[in-house]
Amino acid sequence: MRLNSFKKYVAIAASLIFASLGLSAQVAHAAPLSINLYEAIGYAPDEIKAFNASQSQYQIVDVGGSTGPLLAKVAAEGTNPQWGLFWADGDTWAAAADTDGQLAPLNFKPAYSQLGKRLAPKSNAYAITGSTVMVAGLYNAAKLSNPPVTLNAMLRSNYKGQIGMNDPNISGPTYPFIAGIMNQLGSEDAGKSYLLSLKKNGLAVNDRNGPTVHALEIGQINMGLVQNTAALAEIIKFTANPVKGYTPKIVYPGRPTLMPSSLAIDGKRPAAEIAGAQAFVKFVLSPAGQSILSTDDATQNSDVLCYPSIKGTTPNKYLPALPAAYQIIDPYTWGPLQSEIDAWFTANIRTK
Amino acid sequence: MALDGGLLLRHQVPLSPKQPSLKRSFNRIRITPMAVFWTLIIFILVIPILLFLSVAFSPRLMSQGHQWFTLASFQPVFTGAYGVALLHSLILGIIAAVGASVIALSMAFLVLRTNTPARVLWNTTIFALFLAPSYLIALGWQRLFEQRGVLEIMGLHIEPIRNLLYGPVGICMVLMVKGIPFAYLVIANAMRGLGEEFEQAVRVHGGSRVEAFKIMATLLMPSLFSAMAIVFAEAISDFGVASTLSSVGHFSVATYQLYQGINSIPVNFPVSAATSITLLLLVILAILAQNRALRGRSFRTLSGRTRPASITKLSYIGKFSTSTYIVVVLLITLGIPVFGAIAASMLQGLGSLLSHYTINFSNYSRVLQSRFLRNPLIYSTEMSLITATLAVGLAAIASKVLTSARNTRSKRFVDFFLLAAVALPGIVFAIGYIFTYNLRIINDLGLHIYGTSFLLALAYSANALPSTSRSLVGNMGQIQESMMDAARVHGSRGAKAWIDVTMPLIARPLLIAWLLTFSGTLLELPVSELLYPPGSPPVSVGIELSLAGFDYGGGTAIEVLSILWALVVVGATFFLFNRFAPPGWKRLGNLR
Repeated sequence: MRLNSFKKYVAIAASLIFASLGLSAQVAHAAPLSINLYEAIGYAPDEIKAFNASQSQYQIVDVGGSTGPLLAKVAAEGTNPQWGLFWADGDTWAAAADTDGQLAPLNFKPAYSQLGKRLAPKSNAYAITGSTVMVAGLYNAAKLSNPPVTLNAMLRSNYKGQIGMNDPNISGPTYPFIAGIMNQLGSEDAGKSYLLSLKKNGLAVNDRNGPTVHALEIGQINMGLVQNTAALAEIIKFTANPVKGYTPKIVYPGRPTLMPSSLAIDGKRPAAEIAGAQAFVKFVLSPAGQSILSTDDATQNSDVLCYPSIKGTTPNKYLPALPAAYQIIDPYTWGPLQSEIDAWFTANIRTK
Repeated sequence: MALDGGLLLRHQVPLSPKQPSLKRSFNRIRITPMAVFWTLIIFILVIPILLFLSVAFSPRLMSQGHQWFTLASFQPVFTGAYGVALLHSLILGIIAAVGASVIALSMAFLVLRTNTPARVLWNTTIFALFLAPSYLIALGWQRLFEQRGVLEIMGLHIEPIRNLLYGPVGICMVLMVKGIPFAYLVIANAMRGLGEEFEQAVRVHGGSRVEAFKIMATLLMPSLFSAMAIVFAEAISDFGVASTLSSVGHFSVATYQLYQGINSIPVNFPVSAATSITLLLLVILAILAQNRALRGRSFRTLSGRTRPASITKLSYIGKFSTSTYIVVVLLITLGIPVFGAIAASMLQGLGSLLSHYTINFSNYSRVLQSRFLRNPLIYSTEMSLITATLAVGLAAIASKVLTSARNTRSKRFVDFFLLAAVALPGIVFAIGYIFTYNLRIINDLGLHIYGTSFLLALAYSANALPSTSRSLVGNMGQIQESMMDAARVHGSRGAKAWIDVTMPLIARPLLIAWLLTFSGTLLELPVSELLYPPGSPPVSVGIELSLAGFDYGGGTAIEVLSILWALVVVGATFFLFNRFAPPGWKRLGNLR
């Protein structure tokens, strides 16, 4: 009898602890003007800090991570989303969300530069906060004095086995590069045919930027096709601490694709939260928000090495000029093809 | 007809004091530890897994498509290429599991049953082995064997070996290396509880040393199978190691398809769920193999009379050869990841010994101020402490269920879902949690636990439960239940009897299980990344964010510092146990 009572009290105590934890979680969760920002942008925490300090009505809460897992999290949340804002590289995800009617309008016209206007969606459904280049050809000038500057040049026999790239299934930013090749060559099939030729010429495929850059460092390859921020981070690092026999430089083969960073607002949140999210977007695109691009230390945070999309923004001092020729691909056209093209890449380029 | 002939009624004797109906209903509810256990298992393990798998058949159920029922998600699974990838995963799993267990068994024997000098070295580094992330193991292998890597710089011609390593052989080796520490802890726990009566009996009856070893190995079967099952499940759910080491060798594994579904835009969970179901078929094969091997046999050897086994005294040659073996295994299991860590965090220059380089701690001094280190590490430590305590409590019950003599439905049920939780990659498990605890109906019930530390702790515990339970299976399977029965017959209550009788026998395995869970949770990434409360990133997310910002040196430095912190906690816990635990708790399985 006494034993049963003991068990019962233990069970009741445990239930109370669990319930109180749940209750406290509920209280924390229901804070009225707290807005979750799911982000994969290195300088987003600084923007959040500056915005939260600039006003007292809204509290942006940081949920940082990699783009892939964050998109998976959003998809899993389904019809009960918990994000108020989403900020990551690329615009295919934002275009898909816009097409599905998931986004709230920005409610203002950002003061885009000419570049920003070309990248921004006609619907103004999400904001473009900057752009990076996919891809930059990072090469070792100490060994490769004459790097290929066109797509066809990369197929020449003198570059056989010297070029590496990332896998679009693992490295998110690599898909815009592949879609860009297809766009530049006129069709998906032409792009696929080109990639098969590149593979025949000894293309090395690594998971993502890090391994591809390392392959270049140790001479496995002589040119890595990586995101320009990764290439610039490498150049900054070795300019500060030079190593004999390794001089990383950038070349842009063909017409590289500009990949925008997009900031979107969840249309399913309460109106007050949407208003707060809109205020945050406005802040990021304001002179105060844009100044972070030039004041943040690029040696610690390479995401500030993006081309600004807002008129009058001073770019980071380490950022070189835009490539002479570049292209912008339509996310509403190329976004829906990503799954099929990635699967093709796995079957035909990545695996034997 | 009343059994008392209506006597009580005639004399109007009340059958029992009249109680209010609410109180009567409450009294009818018997909240037993087993009821709490099953409730938790259902909510933290079964429902999240089932809800994730359900989208393979019914995408609309979880708002992942328009169809209520479809088999279209299985289309990519029924292709020749996927079949080959699944076969690759199966073979990888078997080789990694058997290899890791055989090495762990030999290591446990040498360390616990012989006076080989290197056993001290192994005992002091075992938790460091367990904490070595597969990322650093794979990185170490790469830096050694890559073109113009360390071995080539040393003038060795290793191209044939490299071609093997950048493919199935390398993947198998890394997965095996990763599995050895866990397999060792499981097997060593069981071996400590075995005593040496059985081996002595063989020897007394004229059996050779080999025959005695065979008897010991047979008695260790539950722990051997436990270790193999977990290493197998871990291996088939691996993606990182395979993708890192197979980019040159082009070796496909089943999880590649799964991640392709998750990484596509829009995310394709139904295909990932269909792939997961095929992985679970492999788990069923593993469980069938285990059941077949253990069916109808008793392994209950641990009793109050069990005495620690005596040490075999080795000759000089024996000492030298066994110590060499231990050192070689240590160099592979610990030396390579340590080398990977040094290459990534301390080697300045080209990240290799190819050209001008210096070795310094600049990345370490820099990250001491990083926002990714201090608070995230404190938060992860708190969560790991809670998780380890909760998981060990649940694991003690789960391992009891798993070692029950009868092959009941509940035993098979727990066994399957525990292994399923390991065989499914962490990200899949976390998505199942979001499906479950972000449901509007759950919110409508007043349960807003998604995005809280509470849910993260539950998910961590569920994630840790399989390995924690299996680390205890060997010992639980050895305990003779008659001891508990005797205590109860002599008037001891259930909880007290357990503490007085069972606890002294399994105190050390419980402690090791607790440390295992603590260490495993501290750097856990996939669940952390998807379920951490807004504004409170765990340290693994901080490391990931550093690496994503191309700060490979800084990210690795944070990882190494976290590992060192975990080792400090492990050391402090062992010290407290050895200093303050009752002597009876330390008698069995004390490290020598």
